[in-house]
Amino acid sequence: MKESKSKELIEFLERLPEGRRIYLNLGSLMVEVSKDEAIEFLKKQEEKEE
Amino acid sequence: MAVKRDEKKMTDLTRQLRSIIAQIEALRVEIAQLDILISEYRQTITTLRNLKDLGAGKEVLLPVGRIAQVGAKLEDVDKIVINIGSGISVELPFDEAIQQIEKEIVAALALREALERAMVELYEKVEALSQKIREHGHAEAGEGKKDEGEQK
Repeated sequence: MKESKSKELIEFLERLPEGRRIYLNLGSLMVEVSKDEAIEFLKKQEEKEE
Repeated sequence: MAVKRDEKKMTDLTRQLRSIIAQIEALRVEIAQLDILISEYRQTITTLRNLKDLGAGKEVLLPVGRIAQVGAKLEDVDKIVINIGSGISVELPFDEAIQQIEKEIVAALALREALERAMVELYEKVEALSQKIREHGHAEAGEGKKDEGEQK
């Protein structure tokens, strides 16, 4: 279920038009990242869960 | 021997009943949490719409921790940053952001319905098990009386 959620999010990010800001929530901080960085982050999270 | 077997059966039935009641309780908690979530999502939509209606330049208070607030000026509420899960937030145009939250509400409502259906099924199981326990209790009581009669 979690795996499919990550895939769903990756697809969502890939469809996102260029220029949209993306942030990583790190504790109480929100760090702006590129689309590729966000996708990479999700892929790594997915690997950890497996 | 038969008495021991009956006792074991009764214990098993009671254990099953307790387990199902615990599951119902867990579902009830989950449904209550979903209700809070749905209500928060709806509140978020209302707040975003109100902020957009107020327009740019309004003074707002930003909470800093639980006790303090600092003043800030509102900019155009054209872009909203939405948490889409797994530690990622994205900036979306106002209407898309509202649609995204509405989608979350629909998903939460669907989950709530599924949990409610599961709870109804569990209640039916509770009813069936209670019936079995009652029948078993009556049968045991009947056997007890028969034994007493034979001893006399």
